[in-house]
Amino acid sequence: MEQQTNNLALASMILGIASIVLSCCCFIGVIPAGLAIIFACLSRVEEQFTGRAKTGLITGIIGLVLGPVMGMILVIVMILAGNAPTF
Amino acid sequence: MKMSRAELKMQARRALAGNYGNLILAMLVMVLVSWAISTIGQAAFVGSGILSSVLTNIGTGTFSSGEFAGISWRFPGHMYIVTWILGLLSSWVTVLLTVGMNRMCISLGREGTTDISRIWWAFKNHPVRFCLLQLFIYLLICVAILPVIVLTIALAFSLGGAAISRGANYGQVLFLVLFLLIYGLILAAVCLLVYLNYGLVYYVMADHPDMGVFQSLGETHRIMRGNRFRFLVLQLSFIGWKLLVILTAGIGALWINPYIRCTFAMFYLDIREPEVETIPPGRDYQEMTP
Repeated sequence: MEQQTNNLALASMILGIASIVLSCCCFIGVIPAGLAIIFACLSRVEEQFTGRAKTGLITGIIGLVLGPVMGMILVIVMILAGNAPTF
Repeated sequence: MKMSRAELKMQARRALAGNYGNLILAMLVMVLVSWAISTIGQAAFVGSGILSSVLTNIGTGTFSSGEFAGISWRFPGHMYIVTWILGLLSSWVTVLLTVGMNRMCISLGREGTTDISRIWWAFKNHPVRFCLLQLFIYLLICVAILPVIVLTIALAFSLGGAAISRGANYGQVLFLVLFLLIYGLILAAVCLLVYLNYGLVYYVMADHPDMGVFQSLGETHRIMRGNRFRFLVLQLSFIGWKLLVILTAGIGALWINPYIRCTFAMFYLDIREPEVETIPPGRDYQEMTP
């Protein structure tokens, strides 16, 4: 049982970190971020989260917020670039 | 002892640890089998239409026709019936597999272990009763929407399309809209009430292979007495998880769906067998058995 929850927590941590990295690619980072949060929550079989699960949860939430923010920034930059005067 | 929502979920997570593989595989089997049957139905429908047009190119024995890629094609009338039957078969198979999954979750809650072969359990244990329950539900739905159909047809006959376009009989149209609104609200309330009373019927049927349809419904109603609000709150508590599944483009459903099912299996076991000992943190089921 412990091995399985450890695997889930580890997967959560890896996906959470990947979500932050992928948040630069528009909304792709949202998928691993959501999975990181799901795995972190499912790995909690004790009262407390394990270290890895906590890391996965936090990085997942950051990735989830960062993905749309980066997407919006990208859209704004593209609009501004489109309106910029050409020489 | 009635467990709280958090305790039920914790129990489900503990039971699932080490068993995700089986349940994910069962879910994939369920999705693939249901999808295959409905796809066969659609393919048979479209294929027969094309074949019929190519072979005969005449409209005898047809109900409708269409234009696709410049070629006139027709659906043979009997294919509507075949497709409808395949649709019913698909929903029946889905129910049987759902019951199999419920059985897996119940055994996970009781014994702490399960295997994939249990997904076929309902196929071997009086599968006809699940078909009868499905037909009973269809019948109830038909009865429920019958007043709407009757009133709509009656009003359509009395009004006529031209009358509406001229702006006449606004009162009757308003009456129809108001009736649909109020009836829809009443129907939603009734559906919720029925769901709260009989929502666990598939768990009861999965747990009792010898119970008939009405016996299972009666048993579900009995065990849900005093637990309806808990059941509703438990259902609502999964809304966040479902939103998270949407964010993951459905991939998360592979883990969340077994988790939700398992939590409801724990809820069922809790209201059914409140005396069963809960699993303390950090201990396996095997350790607990004498």
